[in-house]
Amino acid sequence: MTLRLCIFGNSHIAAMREAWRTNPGRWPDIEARFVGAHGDLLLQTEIRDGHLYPMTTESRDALKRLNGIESVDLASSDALVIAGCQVALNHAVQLKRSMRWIGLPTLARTPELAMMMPALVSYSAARASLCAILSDLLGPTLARHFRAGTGKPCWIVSQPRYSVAVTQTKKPHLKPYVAAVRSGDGASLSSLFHDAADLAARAAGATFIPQHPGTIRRDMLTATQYMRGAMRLSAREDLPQPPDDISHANALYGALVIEQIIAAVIGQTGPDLPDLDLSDVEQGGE
Amino acid sequence: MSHPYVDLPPSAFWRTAVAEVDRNCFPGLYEPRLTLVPATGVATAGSCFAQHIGHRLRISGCNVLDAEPVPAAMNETVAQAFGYALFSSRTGNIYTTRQLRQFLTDINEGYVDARFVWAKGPAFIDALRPTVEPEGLSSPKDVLLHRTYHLERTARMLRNADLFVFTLGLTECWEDRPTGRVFPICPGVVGGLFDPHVHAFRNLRYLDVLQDLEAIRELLHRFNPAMQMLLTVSPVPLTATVSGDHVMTATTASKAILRAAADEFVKTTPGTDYFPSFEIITQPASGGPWFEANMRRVSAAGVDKVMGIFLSAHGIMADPPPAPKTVGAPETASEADEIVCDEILLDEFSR
Repeated sequence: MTLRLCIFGNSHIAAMREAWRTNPGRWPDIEARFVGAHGDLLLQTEIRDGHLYPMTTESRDALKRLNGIESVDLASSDALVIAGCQVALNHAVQLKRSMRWIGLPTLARTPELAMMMPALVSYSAARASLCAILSDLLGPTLARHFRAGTGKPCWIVSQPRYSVAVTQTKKPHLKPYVAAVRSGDGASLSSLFHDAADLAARAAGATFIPQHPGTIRRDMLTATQYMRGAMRLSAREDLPQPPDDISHANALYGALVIEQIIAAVIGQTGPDLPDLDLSDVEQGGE
Repeated sequence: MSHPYVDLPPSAFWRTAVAEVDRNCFPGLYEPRLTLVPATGVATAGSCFAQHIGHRLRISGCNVLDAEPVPAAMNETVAQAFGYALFSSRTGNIYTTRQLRQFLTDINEGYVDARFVWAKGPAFIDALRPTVEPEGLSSPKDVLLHRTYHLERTARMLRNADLFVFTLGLTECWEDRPTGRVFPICPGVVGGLFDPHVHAFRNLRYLDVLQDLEAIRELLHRFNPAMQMLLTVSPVPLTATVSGDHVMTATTASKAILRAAADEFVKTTPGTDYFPSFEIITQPASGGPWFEANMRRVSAAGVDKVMGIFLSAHGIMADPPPAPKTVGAPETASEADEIVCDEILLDEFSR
């Protein structure tokens, strides 16, 4: 029996689409459609009679130009998957700027908590805060949109953590992230993000699929082998991300995510990385 | 003929102070003895009704102090659920003078009593503020760390407070027999286990409340010797009573004791004042009814009226308070719905 997946996403969908494109026949009995659009264009749509239709000129252009379609048949899908769409660990890092909770190694090293500028909060308060932030982002919002318009089960896939290469970057906006990696708080931040994203997805009627643990380094980073050679979401299939991109994953990563999605949808636990033979999966772009 | 009533001001006569005045404003009802200007550092604490006072003072531009401000990344809904921005620190509701007195003693002494941690399912909560962490914390040690932080932050805040506004709510409380420590809510309701050998019902009497108020003032002055105190009595009736009396009779007795003790304290203590929110809401002459359909929760219009009179008297808001609504009329954007009242948890047991 064929499992029909409809995978939506922003720029992060390119990794999966590239994996699918460059590995024909790897996933027999799976039928996958990829619908990508930038920004919130996927939200500028309406669902009627089991179909997703664009409601604005921009979303119509995005469906046509990036996907070659005018509408999406949701009713014929077994599962709707949302990839990336801002559900990312960096929101936990931003949270840490105004609050700290027990379990963060940096908190344990703080001599006078009452003098600390960020507030001491409970883990559950931090999780609820992060859940509220994530709930308003594109992924969960899109899930609510899909769930309201269809009865289809929905999954939200984590955006990949920044590449290991981020530790070498000089970009000012990434400094807090790098500082968090170096602080030793990574495991705690990662755990908080996982819990909050899980809650946010459930509140949106979806299920959260975390980043595959085998791709993660130092709790907060993605191994370069899964990031190097990432492709853009564009009408052209061979347009790579710029060399200094640290946000987007490649087809090797995309293949792993497809495996995770399949396992999740058919109700199995996630794949165990060492048992997966991905040596023949094209990385694309390099 | 001369007698003492001849030279009294209009506010001394029912006809000129109540029957024939604009009862939306009640001119002369509250003539502040204390100064409240935008720069005044105001600390608030008390029962559910005190949340309205803090909120309205804040949005009116007053300098309401906050020992534990809402972190930038926390939204309003989460903040309220976790006890932020309700009072000047995350105390939860302080219903009794005894609770406030013991809280201020703890802050002064930096004392964190490890006995007052309650189990709540697999988690643990602070028995002295049991509702500020709805899911609890993972260990008693964590609870004590959070309480230490709370006490230290509150101490820092109180050193900057010029005016302490306290809303007296209840006289009934539950006490830990060995220590005399009172809890904001009966053990066993939201956490912990009720043990009749350990926990005793206590209904504070007039002298208890008065002595507590005197001790509270003394404790506050250790942070700032010039700190002034403004008292109000919450007009919100008891949710439940263990006194053996009818809940309405028990409410009247409780409020009468609080009101009488507040009166005595303010009349005999410099740097203090009383604001009649209880009278404005409960006096038939004030119009209303200023309660919602359950006759317990103060309506948004009632809060508007109380705070309108208060702020106008201090020259902070010129607009007169609103006219009364009909009973049971639906509230628009009812602020009252946003108030966190632990005591209402007892209501569950009446069903």
